[in-house]
Amino acid sequence: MNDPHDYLVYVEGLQQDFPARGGEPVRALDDVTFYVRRGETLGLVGESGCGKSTLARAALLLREPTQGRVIFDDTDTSSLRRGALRATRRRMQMVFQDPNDSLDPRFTVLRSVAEPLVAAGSGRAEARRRAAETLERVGVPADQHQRRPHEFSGGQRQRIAIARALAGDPDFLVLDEPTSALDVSIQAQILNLLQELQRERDLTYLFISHNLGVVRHLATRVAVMYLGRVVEIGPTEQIFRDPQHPYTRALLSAVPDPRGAARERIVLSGDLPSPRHRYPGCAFASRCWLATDECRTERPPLRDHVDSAGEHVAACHHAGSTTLPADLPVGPAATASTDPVTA
Amino acid sequence: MTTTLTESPTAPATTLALDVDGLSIGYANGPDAVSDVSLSVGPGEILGIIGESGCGKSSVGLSLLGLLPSSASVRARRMAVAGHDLVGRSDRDLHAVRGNDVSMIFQEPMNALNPVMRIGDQIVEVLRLHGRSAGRRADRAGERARALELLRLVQVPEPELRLRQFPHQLSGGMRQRVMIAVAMAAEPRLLVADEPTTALDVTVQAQILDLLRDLRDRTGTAVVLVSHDLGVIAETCDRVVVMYAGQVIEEGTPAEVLSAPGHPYTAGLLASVPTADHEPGTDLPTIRGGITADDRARAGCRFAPRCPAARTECGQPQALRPVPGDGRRVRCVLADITEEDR
Repeated sequence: MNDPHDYLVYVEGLQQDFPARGGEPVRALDDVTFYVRRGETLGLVGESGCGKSTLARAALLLREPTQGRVIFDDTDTSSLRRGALRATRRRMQMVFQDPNDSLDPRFTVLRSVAEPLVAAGSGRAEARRRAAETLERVGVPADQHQRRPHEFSGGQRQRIAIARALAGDPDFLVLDEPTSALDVSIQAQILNLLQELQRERDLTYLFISHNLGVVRHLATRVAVMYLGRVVEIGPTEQIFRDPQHPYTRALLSAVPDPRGAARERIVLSGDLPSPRHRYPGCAFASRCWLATDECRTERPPLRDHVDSAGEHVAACHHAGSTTLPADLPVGPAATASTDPVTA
Repeated sequence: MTTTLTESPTAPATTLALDVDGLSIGYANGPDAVSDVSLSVGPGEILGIIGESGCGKSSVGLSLLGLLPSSASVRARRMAVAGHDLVGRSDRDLHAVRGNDVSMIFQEPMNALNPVMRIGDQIVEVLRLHGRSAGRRADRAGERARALELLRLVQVPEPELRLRQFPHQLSGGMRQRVMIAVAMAAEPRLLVADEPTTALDVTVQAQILDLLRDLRDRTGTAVVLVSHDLGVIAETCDRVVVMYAGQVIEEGTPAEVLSAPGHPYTAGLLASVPTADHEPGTDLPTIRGGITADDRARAGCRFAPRCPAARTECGQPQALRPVPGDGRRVRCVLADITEEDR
């Protein structure tokens, strides 16, 4: 069932430290391991500062990790030399929240999309032909290809940014909050486009979002991050129906529902603790209503608590051991004290 | 310095916190950004204004404090906050209303807080500005006590420490709480909150929305909550208005409007939000096209060019009409036609 050859991307034991003034380095990623199967979408959720974007950059081989490695298409990228590394990077692309981050305001959109192809060695004419083709595919008609980014709406600009990422025919796309800046009716159009393109081109997505509704709709599997660690990972349907980690439960319960559907509500107290602090135990212990001494001293490994043959794992000492709903305080201020390092 | 937040406000409790009739806002060129909007908010009520970019919701929010740029022309038959009419007032008069009767919180607290001023001083400044303290040496202890009381009201942990801190030393959620404390310092009758949780993470958003409801319960302050997030509005508001291209197109309780929308735009908006009701991986329903400036000049229904149910009558001007059988109002020819007859 779980064949490593199915993995397009396999991230193993990734650690990323950043130097900090006058103190220990900030550990932005702490022993992160996961895979993305060919043709699937892995949703990556978590709150600001949890390391989502750092992880995206590491998966795209844009920064050398402090420890760990990324295996892409059965090749250990840490052993690649410069030329081969470049060729591998070209098979990966990224779409950002703000399309202006990838479009030059002075260039026509056709040039913006063609440019990476030229940089990758295509002839100019060929690059322009493929750029035009890709732009039309994402819904930008030919008579608009000579316009500049400011002449387009936010939704159209995001289509152009997607065309730029796709023109070189990549295998793997990291989508970092691609619809967060858009209105809901436009968001739906872009999500539909991303799904169509994935089917057509056999693309593999790492989809980063704080919007759990969007992730639920798009992702095959979901990874939940907290403070640089993956705390739970599993098939989307299972994560939403039967979350194992208390943080996942809190996150899911915090999403307001437009139709006011009844749901469990856990309001966490305090904010995310500082990533400068090292937590010997579970990183969520300071905000968790189930935390025991064991949680504060022993780091829980990712384990299967639901007999899913390793498909659905969570890093919690208490997951699966008790019937959580019964002893769960719900409603406002359900949790323990604020973390002292919070500021 | 003896007033507390639980003391009854100066205006009688029956006075509407906000009473706006026929508000239109225009900018230099082009059609009005807001046309003929009427809103009323009772004491202690939370009204949500929802809509997409360019619908005019933020212009409405800013106009309630007289904060629109001078190039904007604001016309209204009546525009009263806590019984005080704002129409035709000078900047000086507005200054008295702002802070005392109405104050505002924004999406980004760093734009509202002074980065080089301690939190405590920022609260005290508001107290002095609005005559809550004379600012004499003898008032210092009272000012400090009141600042602490406000920080406790917005549930900031370790308030004594925060008084001495600067905004950059606080987390995003904490800054948002401090901004709310500053806004509440002069005990306004109405708090306008423009996308107050959009920049926050969901778990922190849940805390701030709880806080807004809690403040309303404890102080009786009415709230106008402007947001693009249907979920935020549904869970926080007593009543909701939906705006499209400068007009109110639907109004009612969240249960009415968001569970059984009466306007095709509201319905389309709701359908395009991915939820558990959509089969994962399938196409989401979308609303075709987009809003253009021309739509705001349209005499008939402004949503008609995008509406799946548009018919010839839609070219005629549509009034916001009560829907038979419930408390809601809808600006659509289909509003009084039952589902089966459509």
